Amino acid sequence: MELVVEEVEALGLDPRAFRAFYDDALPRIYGYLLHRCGGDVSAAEDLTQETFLSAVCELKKGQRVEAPLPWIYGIARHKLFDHYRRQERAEGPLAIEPSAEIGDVPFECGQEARERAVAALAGVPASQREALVLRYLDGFSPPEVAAALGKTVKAVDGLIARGRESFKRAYLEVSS
Amino acid sequence: MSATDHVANLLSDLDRPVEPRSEFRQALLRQLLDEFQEDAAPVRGGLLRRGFGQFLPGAAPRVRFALIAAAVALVIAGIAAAAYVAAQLVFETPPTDLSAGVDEWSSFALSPDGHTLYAIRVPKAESAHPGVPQLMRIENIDRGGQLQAKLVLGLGFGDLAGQGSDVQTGSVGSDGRVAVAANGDLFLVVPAVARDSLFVLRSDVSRQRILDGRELIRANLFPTAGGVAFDVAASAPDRVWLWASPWEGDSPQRLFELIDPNGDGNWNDRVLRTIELPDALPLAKQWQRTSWNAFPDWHWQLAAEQSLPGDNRSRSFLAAALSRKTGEFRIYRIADLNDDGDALDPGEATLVFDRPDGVAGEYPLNKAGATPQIAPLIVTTGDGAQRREIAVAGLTSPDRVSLISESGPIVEIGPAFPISSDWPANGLAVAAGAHGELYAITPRSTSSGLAWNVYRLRAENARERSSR
Repeated sequence: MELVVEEVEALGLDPRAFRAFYDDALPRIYGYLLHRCGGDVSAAEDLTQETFLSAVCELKKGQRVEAPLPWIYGIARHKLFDHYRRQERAEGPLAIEPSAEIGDVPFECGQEARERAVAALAGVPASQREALVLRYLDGFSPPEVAAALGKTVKAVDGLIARGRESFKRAYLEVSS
Repeated sequence: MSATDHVANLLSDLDRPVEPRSEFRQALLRQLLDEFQEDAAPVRGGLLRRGFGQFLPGAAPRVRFALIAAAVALVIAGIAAAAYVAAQLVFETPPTDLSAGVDEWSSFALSPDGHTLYAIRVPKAESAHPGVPQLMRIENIDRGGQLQAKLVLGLGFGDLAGQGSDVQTGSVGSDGRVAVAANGDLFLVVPAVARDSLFVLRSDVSRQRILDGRELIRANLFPTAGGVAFDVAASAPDRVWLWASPWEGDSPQRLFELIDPNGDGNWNDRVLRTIELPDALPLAKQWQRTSWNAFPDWHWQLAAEQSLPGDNRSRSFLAAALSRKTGEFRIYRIADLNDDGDALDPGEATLVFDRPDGVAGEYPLNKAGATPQIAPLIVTTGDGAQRREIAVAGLTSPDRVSLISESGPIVEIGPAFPISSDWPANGLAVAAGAHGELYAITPRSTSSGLAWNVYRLRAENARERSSR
């Protein structure tokens, strides 16, 4: 705890210490956002910048941060959800959700599979992607997803189910 | 979730650190360290948000005397106070508390029919830094009644991504810019971190990216390590003028002409031409940003003019230049009439107005990036004759609008507007329409915070009546 407190004070007062935090946190936050934005570098950079600027603003206000990494992940998540909602509004009624169920995706792993998964995630409608990200990338339970999104658990279950179908369809498309 | 849930397996395997581009890493770190060194909370607009009092040093009697003397000199030079134009408050934005966040309105432009006023708004975000800029519209601005500002388009990635755009929004640089063409198409400068983009938003609400600052960087017109900031004037639906300034790096300011060659509104076949300008124009030929709040010596603003029968202005535009060092204020009309890629030929770069006796570093000509704002205007007199004027906000006084005739004196019109003492010198703005409509927009202090007021200026007698 002492170490954390020292780090927090340094974050608020010493740009050199902040730089050390930045060096450690930047690839994590950027990776977190990049994968959740479907590999869109511009969007990930934009959101990363917004995240760190918000963090600096909070530090300058004198906020005590006892766990810097979870704290900045929390900021990044808020930025990401704002981004999803903007996308959701932009997609509007144009989002098409085919109803036919498709088979499961094959078991794959490795870099190529990750790249395909990132590309497939980008093809999932924003509202479904939001639920998938919380459920499978952030490890939230369905009730936690529902609380985070301000929806009922039933609605979240539906979103996740449709999101899984959308993801599978997109994954098979990029794989072919 | 079972071990055979391949969707879960694939997705949960994604979370890995990724090293961003080194340019991005360095630029963001530099920006964050700058933020650390600033005393105040960072806000969009930087210097533009500093208090008006900051530009009026103390209340030293000598300075006051100098200001009074300058004002007297301006009067002697031909400024005539004219109270024959009335101003009616037609719209007011909800008040905002700047100390708590950002809710800035800027870049006001009228639709060709005069019914809609467009503006860029930077909304408050949930945190301290500003949100993504928005294009707003106030409909029926000329008809009165209960008016509302409505969101047209967010200028963020999410709203523009559908066009295959790689636009970013950022918290440095401009807040964006909107210019309206004669057919109602909107040309939008979408602010980005060190690389603006130009979009067209057509009247059928379809939109298209025309140019990204990175294209100019890739063409070696601006340094790779720097960036580009745009200003735009739409002199015709198929012709846009783009003023590009380096965000940082040793580079000149440049003027581009963008043309839609077949005029079909699809800019995929756009032609981009660099326009060489005469040496007499005070461009920054070699400029390098030395700090986040450094600017070239001259600030430029672009504005398109309306065409009249027999007086086509679709191939030229006005460029207002303000010297931050000397306070000189000039307005040029620029064109490339023979399509040879320059404005060096006779009649292609004309000095329309020059006032060399500004007060450097003081209002209205200060060093902080503030500048009088121009809006070309066509005034119809009582006998039906039409003549060109240029409305200028903040030229003679922070709270006054003036008209500049190409052959006449500067004439102040309308009342002194209730500007905010907490707002910079260029807070007063003007927007003019194709039929003589003229609006003054000013940020005003209220008990609940700052509110942007839109006033319609109307002639009270026939001598200077604007017609529809």
